[in-house]
Amino acid sequence: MATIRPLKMVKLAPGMGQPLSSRVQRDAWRLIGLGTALAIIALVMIAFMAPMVYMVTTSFKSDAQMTDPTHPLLPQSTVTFSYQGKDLPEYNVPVDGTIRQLALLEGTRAQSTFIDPANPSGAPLILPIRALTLTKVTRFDPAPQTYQTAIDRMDFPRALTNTLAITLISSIGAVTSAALVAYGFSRFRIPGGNILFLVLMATIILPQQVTIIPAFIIYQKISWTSTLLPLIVPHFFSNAYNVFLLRQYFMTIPNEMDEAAKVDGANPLQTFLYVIVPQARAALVTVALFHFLVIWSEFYNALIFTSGSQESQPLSVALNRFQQLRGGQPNQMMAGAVLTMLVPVIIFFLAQRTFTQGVVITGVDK
Amino acid sequence: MATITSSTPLVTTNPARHPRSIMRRIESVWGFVFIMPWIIGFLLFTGFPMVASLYLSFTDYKITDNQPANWIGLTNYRQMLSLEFKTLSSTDQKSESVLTAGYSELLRVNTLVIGASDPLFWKSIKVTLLYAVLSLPLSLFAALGLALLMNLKLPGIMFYRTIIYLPSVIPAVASAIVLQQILNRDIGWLNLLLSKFGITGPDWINDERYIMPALVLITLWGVGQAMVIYLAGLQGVPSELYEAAKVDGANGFVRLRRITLPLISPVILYNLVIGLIGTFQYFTTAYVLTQGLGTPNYSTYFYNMYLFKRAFAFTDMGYASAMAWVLVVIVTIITAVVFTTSGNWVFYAGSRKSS
Repeated sequence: MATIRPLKMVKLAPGMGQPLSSRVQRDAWRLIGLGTALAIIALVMIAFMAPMVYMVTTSFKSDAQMTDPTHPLLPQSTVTFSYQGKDLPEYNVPVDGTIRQLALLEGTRAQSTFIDPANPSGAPLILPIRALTLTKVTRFDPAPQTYQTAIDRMDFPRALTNTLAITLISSIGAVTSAALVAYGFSRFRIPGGNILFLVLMATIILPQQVTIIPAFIIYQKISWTSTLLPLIVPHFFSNAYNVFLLRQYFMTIPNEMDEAAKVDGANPLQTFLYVIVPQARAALVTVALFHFLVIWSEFYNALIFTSGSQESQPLSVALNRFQQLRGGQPNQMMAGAVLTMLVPVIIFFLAQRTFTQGVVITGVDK
Repeated sequence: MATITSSTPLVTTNPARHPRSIMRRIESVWGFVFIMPWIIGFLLFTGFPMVASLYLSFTDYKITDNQPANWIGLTNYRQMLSLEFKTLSSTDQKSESVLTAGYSELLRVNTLVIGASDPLFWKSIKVTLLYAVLSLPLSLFAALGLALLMNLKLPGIMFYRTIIYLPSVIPAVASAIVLQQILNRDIGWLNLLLSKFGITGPDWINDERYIMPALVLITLWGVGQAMVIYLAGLQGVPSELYEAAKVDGANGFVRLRRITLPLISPVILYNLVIGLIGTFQYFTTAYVLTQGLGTPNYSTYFYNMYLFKRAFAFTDMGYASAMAWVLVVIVTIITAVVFTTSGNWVFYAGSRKSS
């Protein structure tokens, strides 16, 4: 490639030696490129954030606020003023060039009578304004009772307990079993080991529909379908993704460390526990976190295996049931959605680095 | 190891107790001990259920009645896959009349009438393929485009990455419910935005023509997962290659085509395969949006939705098992095709197989 080299390497700033006009031109192109990139990013940000903003703001609206035809973004209520036993709506009224917030006592097409809330005993102001053309005074008024409704209707405490039990216990089982299996595949010569590993990898493309029907029949026969067991126990036997990722990571740990432990008289289990596990802490945590999030949002298995008993339904199924019952109430559904995603989002922000540049995913291109 | 053996020559002269083979055997025993969780799990939760579902697929088993499963041979498969082709003559008024009893019209091309004994099966195949054709290329391109954008050195780039990844963390049921509101005909934000440009937005969820684009939009919201995987691949491309190409006068587009894309092609393959598998198992969003009905007019009756209905709503366990095995065959064929053709476009560093 670089067969012809200049005799003397002089360090040149990029673009130096070219005519000035071409440098200006190139800088202009670079600026246009940067501007385009930032404009696209701005649009992408709006598109990705809008549903989340909608979800959170709507979840704090009361049923009455939902019917507001002006669709304000934030939960807002109109401000009223109590005057002689009546609640009068307040309007933004232009008076002598300034906007004043006045309560409407009565109005006709031609004129309106206002009371000044700051001075209710004063004479009413009669202005030649039609009240319908004015905007009402609103204030920020979140409605936490929407959450209360969602919590009650979703049976949230029970669903949350179920989901926590399933995700926490199964994550421990998944990481432990995957680490053991990955260590077995990465360090030991097993007769037929390559074939076994291929079989393991092939299970990635195996649709789970081909096992779920007999599994359901069996779980029903042994009365597991009204418990959390079908959603927990299978995770204790490792899955292909986790094994693959951990095996990739274990192979980067030098074999000499195992050998040294062996010389010190450690058996393979001790080597695994005291040499490999501490070395692979980051990878193990990553696998556990990914597993946690996947299981938190899992719906298909949960729907099938807990269909018989509401007591064992996790959050995803509870939210779906709530949606089917309350199909027309967006604010309550959004509250339910926020409640369902709260824990994953918190975990995501705590362990953000792991997700956006995880050690684990770098293994896939090998 | 080598130094130990050479300093203890006695060991090698004793063939009766060959330490190598004993050590090998011990090693393989330990290996089996470590992979035992998977072997047991595979036999219990994959192997045995697979055999059982293959057996069920040849029976009329229903879980509700206490009848034992009756062997009915290939009947399930025949019912699922049977097609009938009839040509309509000018005297035939209704197409139904030309088809054998038990067949209903699936498709009509001029005078050719195609009947199927299970039109819903073919409908579900069509729906799933349509979704695959729309969503797979779009989400692969979107994820790659976003990854390229997010690989630039810009202020606030970590924040942008976080926002794009965040929807992937939201449980699928929750995001389906949220996007359902965003796509609402009257109060949804998308249509409110469109109305600002003078466009009357469609009824995304309840209109047969728009539900598929709506599902693709929902899929695209979760594209952050694939983007992060691309990003990891992009960060593995050595920057010296770009520098060298710049010196040779390659512009940005040429660098993308000649360096970036070949070097991350294994990641593209990975995302393609994972996307394919996910597409054929597509279920949650369609189920939540349509309350499991596949509305409007079966336009969201995905393969997996139909299988779920057959198995758990109609309790046709035998028929659903046959559907599951047809799915296995479909997925295996498609994955095999992808892997065999991938040799033409996937470049593995260190091998000379690139084209």
